[in-house]
Amino acid sequence: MGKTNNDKQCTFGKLSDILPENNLGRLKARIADLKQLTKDSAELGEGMFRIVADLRAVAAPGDDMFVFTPKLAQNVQLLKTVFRDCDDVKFRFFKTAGRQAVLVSLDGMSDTPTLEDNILKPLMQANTSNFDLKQFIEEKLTVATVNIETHANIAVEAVMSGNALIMIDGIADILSAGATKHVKRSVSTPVTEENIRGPQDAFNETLVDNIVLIRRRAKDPNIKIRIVQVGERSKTGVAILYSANLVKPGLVEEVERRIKSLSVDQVLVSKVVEDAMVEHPWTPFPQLESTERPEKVIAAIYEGRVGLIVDNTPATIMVPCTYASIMHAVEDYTMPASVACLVRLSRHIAAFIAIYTPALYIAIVSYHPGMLPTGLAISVAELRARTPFPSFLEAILMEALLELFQEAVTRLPKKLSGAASMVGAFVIGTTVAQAGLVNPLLVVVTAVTAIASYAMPYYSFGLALRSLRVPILLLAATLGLYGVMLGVIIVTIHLCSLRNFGESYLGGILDVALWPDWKDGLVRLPQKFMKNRLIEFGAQDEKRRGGDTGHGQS
Amino acid sequence: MSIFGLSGANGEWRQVGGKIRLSGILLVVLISIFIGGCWDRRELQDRNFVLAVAIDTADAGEKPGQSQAAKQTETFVQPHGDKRYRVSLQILRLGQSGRGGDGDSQQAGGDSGKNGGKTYVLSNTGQSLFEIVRDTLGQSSKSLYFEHIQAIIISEAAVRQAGLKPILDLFLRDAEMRWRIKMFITPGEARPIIEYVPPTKEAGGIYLANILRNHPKNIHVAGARTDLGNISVMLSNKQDMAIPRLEMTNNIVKSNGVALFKKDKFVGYVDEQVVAGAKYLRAAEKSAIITVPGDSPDEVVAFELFLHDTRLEAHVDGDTIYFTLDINMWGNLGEYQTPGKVKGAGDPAFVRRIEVKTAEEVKRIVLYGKDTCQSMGVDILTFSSKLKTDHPKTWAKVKDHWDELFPYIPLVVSVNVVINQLGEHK
Amino acid sequence: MANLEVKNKMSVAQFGVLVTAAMFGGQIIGLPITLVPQAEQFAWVSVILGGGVFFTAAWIMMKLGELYPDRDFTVYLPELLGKWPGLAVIGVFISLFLMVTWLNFNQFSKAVAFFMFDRTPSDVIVMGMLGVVVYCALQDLGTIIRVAEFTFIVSALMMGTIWVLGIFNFQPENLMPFWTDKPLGILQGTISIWGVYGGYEIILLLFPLIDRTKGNLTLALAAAIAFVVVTSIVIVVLTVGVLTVEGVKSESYPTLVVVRSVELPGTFIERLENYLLVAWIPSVFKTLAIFVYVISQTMTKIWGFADHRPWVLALTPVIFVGTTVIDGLELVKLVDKAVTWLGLALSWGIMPLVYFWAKRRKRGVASGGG
Repeated sequence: MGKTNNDKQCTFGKLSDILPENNLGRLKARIADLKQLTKDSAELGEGMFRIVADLRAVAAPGDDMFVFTPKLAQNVQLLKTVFRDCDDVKFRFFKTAGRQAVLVSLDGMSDTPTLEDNILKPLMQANTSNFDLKQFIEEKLTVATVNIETHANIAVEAVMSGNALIMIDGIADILSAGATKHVKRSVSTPVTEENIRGPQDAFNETLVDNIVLIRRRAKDPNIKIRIVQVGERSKTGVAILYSANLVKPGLVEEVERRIKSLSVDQVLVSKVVEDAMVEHPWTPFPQLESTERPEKVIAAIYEGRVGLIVDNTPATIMVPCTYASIMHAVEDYTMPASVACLVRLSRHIAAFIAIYTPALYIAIVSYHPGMLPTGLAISVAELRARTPFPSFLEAILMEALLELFQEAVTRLPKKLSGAASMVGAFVIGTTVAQAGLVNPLLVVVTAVTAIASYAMPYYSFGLALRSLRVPILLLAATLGLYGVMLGVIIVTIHLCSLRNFGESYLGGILDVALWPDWKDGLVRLPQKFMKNRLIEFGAQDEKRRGGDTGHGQS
Repeated sequence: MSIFGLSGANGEWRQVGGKIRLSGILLVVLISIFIGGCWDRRELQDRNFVLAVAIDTADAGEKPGQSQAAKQTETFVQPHGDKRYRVSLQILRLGQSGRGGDGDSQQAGGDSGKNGGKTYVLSNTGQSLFEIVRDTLGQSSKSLYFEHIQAIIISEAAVRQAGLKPILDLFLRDAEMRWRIKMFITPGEARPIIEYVPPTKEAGGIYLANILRNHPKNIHVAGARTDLGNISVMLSNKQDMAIPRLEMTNNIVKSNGVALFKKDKFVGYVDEQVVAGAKYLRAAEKSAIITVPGDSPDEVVAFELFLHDTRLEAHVDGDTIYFTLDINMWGNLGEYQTPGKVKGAGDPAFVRRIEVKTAEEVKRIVLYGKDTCQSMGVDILTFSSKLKTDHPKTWAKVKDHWDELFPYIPLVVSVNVVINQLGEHK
Repeated sequence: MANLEVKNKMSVAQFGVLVTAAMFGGQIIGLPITLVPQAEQFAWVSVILGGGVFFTAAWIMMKLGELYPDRDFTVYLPELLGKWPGLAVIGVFISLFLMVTWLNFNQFSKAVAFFMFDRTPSDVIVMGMLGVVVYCALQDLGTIIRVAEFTFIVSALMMGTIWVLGIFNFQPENLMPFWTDKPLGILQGTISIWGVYGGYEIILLLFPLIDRTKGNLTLALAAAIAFVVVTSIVIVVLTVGVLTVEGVKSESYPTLVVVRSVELPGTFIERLENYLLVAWIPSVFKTLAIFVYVISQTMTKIWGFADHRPWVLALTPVIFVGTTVIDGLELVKLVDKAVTWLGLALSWGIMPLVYFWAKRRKRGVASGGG
């Protein structure tokens, strides 16, 4: 529609009628060309930057990215290449002692008051004559930690960790000053391991805070902490904690060796580190303990074990672990000893019940009904006369329902879980029996099994018990009580054959050579009987008190 | 990656193939166990619970007008031998249980057939009991399950035919039977007893077994060591035994007296007093009621025994064998009937007199029991075993002609009774 | 204490429990059937005498091991007796254990199939147990020791509890006739119960692995044999007390019948012999696992292999075929007799001779060299 429309008529026409070189076909072709050009130029740009990086990299020794030169402009250029498109890396140019300088820091991870008062201020106020970096660091720079870096990789990593990098024109040394302060969750109560009478502070995600929680509880310089970096891209810090004069000889070296041989690129959850530590990847049983509570870690360290804290995970790992140590709960030590014995024994019985009760039900009802008293057998038979399924199918059905229900409840937000539990109670409990699908005795059995598996102090162990139920059910459905007993034996053999770091999982519990350990493994005797450490973990010093080894090895 | 392994780059392929082959074989074995079957899986409600067994002679209780056809259907064609026994099985009927919370169990009890009971009876005749039982499966919709059997009732006529052991042999060999099955001998026909519906609407077999479980309190019923297992032990030891007697008349079922067996052969019945005497002698009673007349002959005093100390000893004096029995009894005064007068029992002298009278009465009963057993020639008084344990040399001498010696062995009884309490009312 | 590796040494207490576990197993249930017909009510005397006899045999083997510390019998027997006689003795040992394994498997599967099942073939029971035993024998020694300890303590406790209930029917006068007219029967019974005590021969193989610095090995052996003696006495006394001698003679499985005779009215528990059988299964398992491990380890050492696992797998079909071939009561009795005589020959015939020969050699060497 052109402007030359004098005769006040509305006609429709194509632009290409007036401007013949704009017809659709040609325009399309030109747009295509334009797109191609844009793409090519982007590629060219990438290529050029790569060439620039390569050129710079040629001069770097080893696997450094590049080499810092005394010229500030070049350093800044190199850094900007590395941090290209990282818009949160800030470059602050200033002058110090008459020279140009730059402060590189990560926005949000560094503490601004520190930067301002302790780094920029002294540097800006440095006098121009006789500027000696080392003297300046020792006398005037008031920041708490300062390092001199020469390798580019470490310098870049320092910036990514929240430190501040200071480069001064004409000086080849780069300073990295510690000024980290970032957002984190404050120390709160444990989420999964609640208790009634023990301490209520739990680990959070920050490595430094977790280490502080441990240090507060034992003012012992023999507790050593080694920090290792895992993960090629994520460079997560992993702290290894142990007590130098108590740990089992050879354990720390082995742990460190396994961690260092881990080659992954990211460590997001501690499970990745855990998987590197276990020797039997396919067993359902947990082979390390992980906990949120510092007092458990300290107790483990003082038994001769090693603790591992992974940055950004609130769970600490303890190796090695055995069945007896998994069955410990901190409340056992807050109750009177006789009650604690009963509670411990009932936990062992609960572990047995959680695996074997549905299988025993099938075995007794279908294979050996003679073992029920006659009155009970008659009433169970009358109950089952109404239900159509054989006992094996009934049990599998109830197991499937139970597993579905348990999975569903863990995924729901808190507001819906109340309604879901009502549905579950009705469906699984009442209605299934009333509909005549399963008999009420089986509902009782299933409920008892589920409750028993919740009684485990360590959640992963409860999961392992749940996973064993169905194979044992199959064995019972084939061979009755004999099959159940075979299943018991197979599980026992499997558990005894699990050896992580040399400790047998189940073997220690009834091993006569370790029989002083029964005082704390099977039952809990009062404190005055437990003068010696557990033999099982091979601590170097057996007595728990006295023995003034003082400040022993370092 | 084939099962036979590649001769690949290095030996490790062959190793992997070997491992796969091994796990393959293991898997086949495992699966074959699962597929091949659960041979013994039989659901609880698919088993017919046999609660009691009654054994008669093959032609017991035939009424003149009974149809031959029914009898023919009930039994089977036997390859050789004749029909000797009729075996009747009391099978549990699974009622509709209102366990879902409804209350229709009343209704279920009401309309479960005109005999209104929880059981029904199947019969069959033949010679080998095992064969008879298996043939009865032809009348049953589910397999017969003997693990909950409670009682075996044998008619006297069946025992007289060939002895006890041939009947019991199946029950002793089969792995399903229990050791503590209660045994009864009945003078009449055995089948009506298991057809009897107890007034408590319990299952019949359980009811009958529980009758015998009352034996500690009932001195007239002998049940201490008369179960199937004990009978088996006594049969292998070639001892004489006593089996409780059960009688049914006109819908009343009662256990009283015992049937005496000399080794394997039925000898006869003895009445309740003999049972009482034998129980006192063998120290097998836990509680007993002994009635004596009071000061005048029409008064009745009942002594309730609580505790006793009984010692039976064998003495050998040269060639004479005699036994001594010392009984000390402690108990209460249970009942004092004084027709026509109202009199209390609080007088200590009176109590002393009653004690003496009770001791006399116990002695009389014991001697009566012993004499009856001796006259029948059946040693259920444990004389022979006492002699064997205490004087083995003498036993070795006399055991061959024990049967002639036994009826003449004297017993010296001394009883001492102490009455501790008179009850709430004097 | 470099215990980051597999634990291959055992302490004296662990060895004591291991030997007890090897002995207390399959034959305990069958003890009265062999013993009571011969020794009648004095079976307990036979048991005690047997304990003394077999303790001496075990002690001789221990002393033999002490003469050659750090070497097990596959090394010093050929050295002592010459290659072929030494290997022949080892062959006797291996065939003894193999036959004991067959016999135990056979008896066990027949008893379980008869009492607990109706139509399940006993071969399936053998397969099931064999699979589990092989799984255990494939592990290393440390695991086997711990599994044996665990199953021993658990099954001994369960069996003991169930067994003690037999007291309800116990009648002491059945044991009474203190006069016996068959004194020879007691001695006959003593030597015929090798099956109950068999298992101490494992000391020949496992001696160098015991850490003898702490604890007294003789005491451990004595404790092991004493445990078997005590349990056997309890079993025999209760069986005869409940069933009388004649009763025992006429039953196929008197121990199970004793438990079956217990009636606990009003409780949840019926048919106690099923409970006893179920508690017996781990007992049999551990005995067989130890035997299979010992056989395969001996073969490993003789043939110079590094690991015992291939031999365990090689033995599996042998054991299975041997077990299922023993069919029929006559053959079982024959194998039983053969096993008893072989065991006695090894323990009381060959081993003492070897020991005295070794002692003479050592003395000769010492006096000759010094």
